[in-house]
Amino acid sequence: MDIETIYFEYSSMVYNLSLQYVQNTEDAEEITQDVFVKVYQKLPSFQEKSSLRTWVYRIAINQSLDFIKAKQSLKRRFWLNIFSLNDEKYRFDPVDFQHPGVELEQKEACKRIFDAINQLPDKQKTSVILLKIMGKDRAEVAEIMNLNVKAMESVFQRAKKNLEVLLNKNNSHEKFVQ
Amino acid sequence: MKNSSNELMENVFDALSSVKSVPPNGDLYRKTLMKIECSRGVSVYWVRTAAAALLLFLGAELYAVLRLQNQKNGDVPLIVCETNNQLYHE
Repeated sequence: MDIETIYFEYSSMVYNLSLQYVQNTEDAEEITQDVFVKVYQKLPSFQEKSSLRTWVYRIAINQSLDFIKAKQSLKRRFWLNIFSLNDEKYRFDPVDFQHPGVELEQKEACKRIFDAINQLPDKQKTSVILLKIMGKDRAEVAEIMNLNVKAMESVFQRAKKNLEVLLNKNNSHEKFVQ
Repeated sequence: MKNSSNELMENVFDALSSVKSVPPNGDLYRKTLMKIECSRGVSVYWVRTAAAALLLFLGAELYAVLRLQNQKNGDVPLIVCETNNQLYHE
């Protein structure tokens, strides 16, 4: 399979997935480009232990999480230099909520929900995005996350609990269920 | 209490499932191909490694030359002929 075929088959999926992580079209486009650069570079060593679809999903998830981490550390360094902020309190907060998939009348509500999702640990965040936004079934999500269905279900239940805490108390400092 | 929190989470997941899938920008494929082309060149990592190796080589050369020069300077007193004081001793 060549990169063109792979691009046209999976670009929409990769773009939409990264959009759920960063909630910003510019960042999602950058992540999509980086994902296909990685796919191109790693395609010769792809061993078909999983399906191509699952493999591309995993690359897209890792790339999105790495992008967020890189952006966080860049901002943290900047603000630490100026105000000496405590880095534990720092979290990913997109400057602009520009999610084209969210309808205008739901923008405020969805922004609050995404704010809470952004505060979840990586695996929990991924389980919510794949199950509830991308609409994947449990077995597929478990395969993408390289977990068994039971373990993935447990991750999702913790995510649900944490989301509830975060949404009930806006700036909650309650300890997360890791 | 439990019911209201269940209701809250149901509303949250309903809102999330209403998020629509959007097509990527048509120009994105061209940009991706350009990025792939750029990635085909020599990576920054290898350029840095080569630069570091070159600097190391030049440093070693410089050190060797200076050491050789110092050795030559150290040999100077041995090369200079000793003054023959024989006449004065007579």
